[in-house]
Amino acid sequence: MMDAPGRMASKAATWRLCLAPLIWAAHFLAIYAFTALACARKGTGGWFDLASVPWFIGGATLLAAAILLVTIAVAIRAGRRDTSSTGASTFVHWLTAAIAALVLLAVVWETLPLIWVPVCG
Amino acid sequence: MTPSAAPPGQRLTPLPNPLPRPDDELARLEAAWKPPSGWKLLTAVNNTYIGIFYVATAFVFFLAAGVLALLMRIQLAVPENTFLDQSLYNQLFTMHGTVMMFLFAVPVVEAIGVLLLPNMLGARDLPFPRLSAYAFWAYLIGGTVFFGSLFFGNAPDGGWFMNPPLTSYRYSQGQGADWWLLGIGFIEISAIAGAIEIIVGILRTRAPGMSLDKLPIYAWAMLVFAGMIVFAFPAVILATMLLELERAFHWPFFIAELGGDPLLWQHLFWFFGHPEVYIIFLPAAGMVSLIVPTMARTPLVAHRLIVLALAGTGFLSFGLWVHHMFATGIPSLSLSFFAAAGMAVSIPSAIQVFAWIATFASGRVQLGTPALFVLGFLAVFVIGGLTGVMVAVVPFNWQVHDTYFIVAHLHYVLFGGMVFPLFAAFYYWTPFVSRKRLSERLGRWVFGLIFVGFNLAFLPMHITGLAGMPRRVYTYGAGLGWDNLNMLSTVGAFLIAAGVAVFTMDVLRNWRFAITEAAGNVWNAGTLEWLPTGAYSVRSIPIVTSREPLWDQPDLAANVDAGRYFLPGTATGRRETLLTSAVYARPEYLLQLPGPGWSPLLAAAGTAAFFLLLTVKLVVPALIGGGFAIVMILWWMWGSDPGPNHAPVNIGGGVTVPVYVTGPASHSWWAMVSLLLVSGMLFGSLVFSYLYLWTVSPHVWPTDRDALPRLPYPFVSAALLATSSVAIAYGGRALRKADADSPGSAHWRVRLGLVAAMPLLAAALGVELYAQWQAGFRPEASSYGAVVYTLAALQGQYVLVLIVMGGYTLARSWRGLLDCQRRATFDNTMLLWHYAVAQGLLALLLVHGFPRSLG
Amino acid sequence: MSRDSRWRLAAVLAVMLLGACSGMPVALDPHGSNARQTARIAWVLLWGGASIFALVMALVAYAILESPTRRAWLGRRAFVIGAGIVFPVAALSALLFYTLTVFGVLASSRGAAPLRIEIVGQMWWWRVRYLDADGATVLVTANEMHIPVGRTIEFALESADVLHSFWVPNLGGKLDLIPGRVNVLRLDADRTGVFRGQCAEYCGAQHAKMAFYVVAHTAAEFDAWLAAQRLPGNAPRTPALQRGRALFIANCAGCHTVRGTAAMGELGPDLTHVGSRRSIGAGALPNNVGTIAGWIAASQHIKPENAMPSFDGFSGEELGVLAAYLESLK
Repeated sequence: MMDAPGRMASKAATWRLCLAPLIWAAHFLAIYAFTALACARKGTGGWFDLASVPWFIGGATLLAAAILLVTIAVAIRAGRRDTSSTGASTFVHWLTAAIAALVLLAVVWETLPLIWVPVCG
Repeated sequence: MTPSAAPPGQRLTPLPNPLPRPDDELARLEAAWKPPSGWKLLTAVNNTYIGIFYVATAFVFFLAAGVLALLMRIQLAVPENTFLDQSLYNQLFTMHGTVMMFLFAVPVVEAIGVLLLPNMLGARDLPFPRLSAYAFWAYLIGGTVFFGSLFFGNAPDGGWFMNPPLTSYRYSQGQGADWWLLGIGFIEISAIAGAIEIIVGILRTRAPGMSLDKLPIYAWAMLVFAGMIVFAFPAVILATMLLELERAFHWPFFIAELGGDPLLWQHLFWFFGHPEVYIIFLPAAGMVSLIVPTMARTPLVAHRLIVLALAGTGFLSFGLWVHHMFATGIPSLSLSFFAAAGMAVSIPSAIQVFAWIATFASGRVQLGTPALFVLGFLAVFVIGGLTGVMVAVVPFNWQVHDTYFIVAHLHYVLFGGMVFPLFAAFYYWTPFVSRKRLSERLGRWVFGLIFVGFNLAFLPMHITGLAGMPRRVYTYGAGLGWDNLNMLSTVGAFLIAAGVAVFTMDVLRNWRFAITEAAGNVWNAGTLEWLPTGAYSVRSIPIVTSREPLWDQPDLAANVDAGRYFLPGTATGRRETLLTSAVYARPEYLLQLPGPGWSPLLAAAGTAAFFLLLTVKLVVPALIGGGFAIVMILWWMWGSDPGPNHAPVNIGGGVTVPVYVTGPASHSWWAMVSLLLVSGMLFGSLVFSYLYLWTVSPHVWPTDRDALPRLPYPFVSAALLATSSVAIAYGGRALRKADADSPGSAHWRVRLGLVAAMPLLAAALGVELYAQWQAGFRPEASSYGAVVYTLAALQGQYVLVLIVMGGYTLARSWRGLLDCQRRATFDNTMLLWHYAVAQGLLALLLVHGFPRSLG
Repeated sequence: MSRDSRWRLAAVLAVMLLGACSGMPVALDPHGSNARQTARIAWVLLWGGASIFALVMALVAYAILESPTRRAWLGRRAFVIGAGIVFPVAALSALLFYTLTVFGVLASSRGAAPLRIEIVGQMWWWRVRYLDADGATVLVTANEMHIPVGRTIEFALESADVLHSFWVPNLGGKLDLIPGRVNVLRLDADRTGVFRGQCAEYCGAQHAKMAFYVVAHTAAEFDAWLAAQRLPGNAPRTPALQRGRALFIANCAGCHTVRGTAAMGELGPDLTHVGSRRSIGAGALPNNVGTIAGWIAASQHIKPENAMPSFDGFSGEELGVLAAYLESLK
């Protein structure tokens, strides 16, 4: 049976595995909702004005990217430090890093349209 | 095929259980698992039987929906045809899409999971056999009645995605739309039940040693599939509820004049709809990932990358739904987010395709019929995937959206991506459940006819769409350039039908159900479902040390069948399987499983009666049916939660496990948590609907604080909710001291907690409804009223369920079936209770806090 | 496999042959800047997709048929990473860059001094209103729009009942008509011609027969057309036509308008210049005395469930003069 620190590390690793998809979902929801509100409330002043859209999206992407890079780094380090050498834990660490990398790519691609596409069109 | 090293601490010898096995051990095992015979087969709950019923039913729906397509193709073969009139044609295309998507595609891939997964994981059955039986019967009854609406001219005709306002009360005055909403609505419950079962089964019932890295790739695919169902289906269930409320009671969610918006439906539907197509594809990809290595006689290349691909597809597919709405006028930047996400989601598919090619390249392919269908799948699916990338490009989408180009695309990805692998799977896994294989000779004909027919039918449609032909047209004019293309498509469709007919003939001729005498591992595959099986699945539960156990442990089959591994018989005399830990698959406890019974079938009939009678507005009979269903479910539940009714069991190898576990480690807790995720998504969809309607219709939102219900009301409501939770927590604390043998005060405190909690929960809702009514808000007056009352209605559904569950838990306590050790029933009730309280509190915060925060 | 690929090749060639018999598909036959930019993207996508497909199929064949030593490289994880990750990331990044720039241009193009036309979609026809720069209605017509070449047309799209979609493939992509919203579609024609459009969002029984025509003229021709359309309907010159008008006012004025007469109904299409249109019934039939008569007497047979009942109570002679009158409204 696994010892207590081992069980805790395993739980932490499992949560880390879920983190990247949640970051992707939160980022996507945030940029979509903000853009939609900015266009729906265009011209009425208030929180959501068109000029702040690029800032909000850029900021959300930077925040997401930072969390993802940390996740990747932690997962890689945990994978290297893992002395139990069971296939399962290295697998979980690898999967965590790989999913986070995929999410990072998706988040960057989703931000690119800012450069060329008008907000409300 | 080098065997992977056994992990430390798990030596292969000595095997857990020594020979010779006791004389009656096998006989007792067989007796516990004895299938019912004759007409009592209706009471079967064994996953093998339910799986077969399920696959067969789904295939029949496939044939039925296929016939509808043939009729449509006859009508479209020539311009200005009069074979079908517009009324019948519009019902046919709606039913074709609806039956294919809801009654064939998702059920068949779920059914194959039900059939294969336990064996593949080294388990004896799924963790909730009666639940899968219930899900199957509900699907069979509901689906059949729904399909029958065609014969009464009453079928829905709004398209399979049923966009309002066309499908609302003003423009669809018949019952057709209601059949769709209520019929399909409750079939989705079936899918969710199956998904929860698959999640718990894959995570908790694997053979020891099958840690996550050794999980068969198909099981990964099904795990992602089931998770996607949990997160995607609630959105369409909510949409269904909203449209039915609009139709029945005129609550204006989608009526623009009263603050509603037709696009709300599309957002909710496609939030489900896009993941839905990946829900259909991923299991097929999983099947391909098992078939390819077997056909190539070498392990799957880049296994880890494929797991990444499955998981990546799983969540990225939730960011694509607006692809179906590019032409609705949504802001351009918003559209681009979805276009970019669409590019991202094609990378996982590319990974899989090239991994399969690499596996072929590193092996020696035996070109049996399964391999032929896999090759056909590759060709067709790659085309579909490429046209998918094309339609993710917004300007191109603006030309081809809602044209035959999309019809081509969707058939290439769905037929190519699921039906071809399905036929490969039929040929591949028939020897698992049949005495005879299917004919390889006829199989080549089936493949040829279907492959040629499919491309002949659908390839021209790319051109037809670009040539200007929209979807869903019952006829078209001559001279528009569409005539020849349509004729080609019709010919192709009939070729497909010929192939399917040959296949069906082959099945009828050769397929003979067998478990122990099944043809067996004719392909020399490596995964566990090919172990020798009986109705009990495997004789003993093996230790797994690699991903292809049959390739790496040559004596595995013989040893498993001799009873050398874990749990070679039945410890309690009942059906059992082993519960193991989620990541490392270490044995944790013994799960006692139910045998055959009538309650799942009867409960399904009652549930079906409730929904279907409501559709035809026979309210009292519907309520009777619903009541009957509840009684049946309670009867079934009464036999569950047996408590620690047996001493811990020695399953072999020095491992002793308890026969009953409660708390966060138990399978029922995990199932409840999955259900709470579903509930959370349902609630989240409604919160989205509230905020969305506010975004598009701020003019119907109350701007004056004085118009809102006065402040004491929500605080009273919140206090009642919180106290309800406290009462349940109080009962839970008391339960810890409530011994089985002593009739002490602890038991009374448990009951007090339950008795107090129920009216508190109901009263909280009553106060909220009263407050809204007093303030003058009415659900039919505007979309604001509609969504506020729907939040209350949703809460009301939970209140009703919890009153039933609370009463049931009380009954168990009264009968001495609830105590500090035997508490799974209470725990499940408690989990849902706290969830409902949290949901209620959040709803109050939204309804009373949000308008006030607007200043 | 090779036998099957021969079948496929034959099928593809047949399709191309037969498809080509009717000329280039309209969506790839641009006559306006929106359609032109989209067609360029379409060709890139089609050729790119076809090439990738061919490449992948070649790899499949190679993986199965080539000798094991020669194909060993194909079986390595590095290949999967290269082909499944590196290549798609590069290709899709390039595609994103290309398509987003084009999309950005399309989405932000406004055109100087656009001509504004309001379209209201109904089951199953198109109400058309020409607006001036201040938004006042200049002309009401139905099912056919005439536009000047080289000028941006702003179609303001609304719906009176359910979802519809406005699509003229020769000129550009489609945009939906959604109750409660006004969606603006900007198109232009860069040469004269007649372009067919069709509703592209399922809207019920006769979605299949909800078409329209866009006719592009030179600027001078367009001005002449507009001026003629703004005049009231032609006064009937023969006794037969006068009789026809009388029948019209007695039976049809409740739903239809002919400016210059007492008929001012707005439930159905404006018929002031119905004789000048290419089709009747929103593209259901060509426009001549015979089809007009047939429509009046039996529209429910031609376009079942449409909003106009069949007027089968007219005698043959009545029907004839009524149809002749309508046909004279050029």
